[in-house]
Amino acid sequence: MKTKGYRKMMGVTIFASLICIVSIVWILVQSYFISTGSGEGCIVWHDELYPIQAVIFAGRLLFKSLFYTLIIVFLCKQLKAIRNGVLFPGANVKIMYAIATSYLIGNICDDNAATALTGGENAAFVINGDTLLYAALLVIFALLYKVAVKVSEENNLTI
Amino acid sequence: MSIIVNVDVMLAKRKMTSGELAEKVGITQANLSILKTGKAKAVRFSTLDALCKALDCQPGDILEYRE
Repeated sequence: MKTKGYRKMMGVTIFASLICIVSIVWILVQSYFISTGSGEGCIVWHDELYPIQAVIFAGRLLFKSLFYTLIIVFLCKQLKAIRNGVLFPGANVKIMYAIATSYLIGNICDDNAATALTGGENAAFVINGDTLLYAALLVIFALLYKVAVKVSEENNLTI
Repeated sequence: MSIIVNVDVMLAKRKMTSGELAEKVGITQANLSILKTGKAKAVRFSTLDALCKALDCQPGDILEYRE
C-alpha cells in the first residue's frame, strides 16, 4: 500500500517520532541536571518531603518517557499494519489506553514538579483540568479505535 | 451462529472443486474457506447471487437455519 496517503502518514510519523525522541532526551537530560545540580531550579531534597519528592520526580521521568515511547510504538505499529493492508490493528487499542494512562500520571507529576521538587512547605497538590480533559479525550479515541477494529474485522469477514 | 453454510454439500452435488467455484464466483479460496467453515460474519447479495449462479441452486440450498 504505497499510496499518497501512506507516504503522507509516513512523513508525519517520522516527524512525530523525532519530536518524541527529542522530548525523551530532553526529559532525561533535564532530570539528570535537576537531580544532581545544586543551583536554581534544581531539587532541594527535604527529609520530611522526600517520599513525595521522589515519587513525583520518578513519576515524571518514567511516565513522560513512557508516554513518548508509546507514541513511537503506536505510530510504528500503525504504519506496519497499513503496509500489511490492515487499517486498525487490534494491538494498538491497548497501546492507546497505556498512552492515556501514562499521559495522565506523567502530567499530574509534571504539574506538581515545580512546587514539590523545590520543597515548598505550603505547596498544594494540583490536578490540572486540561490534563484530565486530554487524558479523557485519549481514552475516548481509544474506545473509538476499538470500535473501528471490530468493524474492520467484521468487514474482513464479509464475503 | 445458527446459520449453516452448505457450500460443501452443493460442491459435492455438483462435483465441483473449491478452486473452480472460487474462480467462477470471483472470490479468493481463502474467503471461500471462511464461508465454508462458518467463520464469515456476513455474505453480500452479490456473492450469494454469484454462488447460486455458479452452483445452479437457490439461496436456501446454500444457507440453512438450525436452532
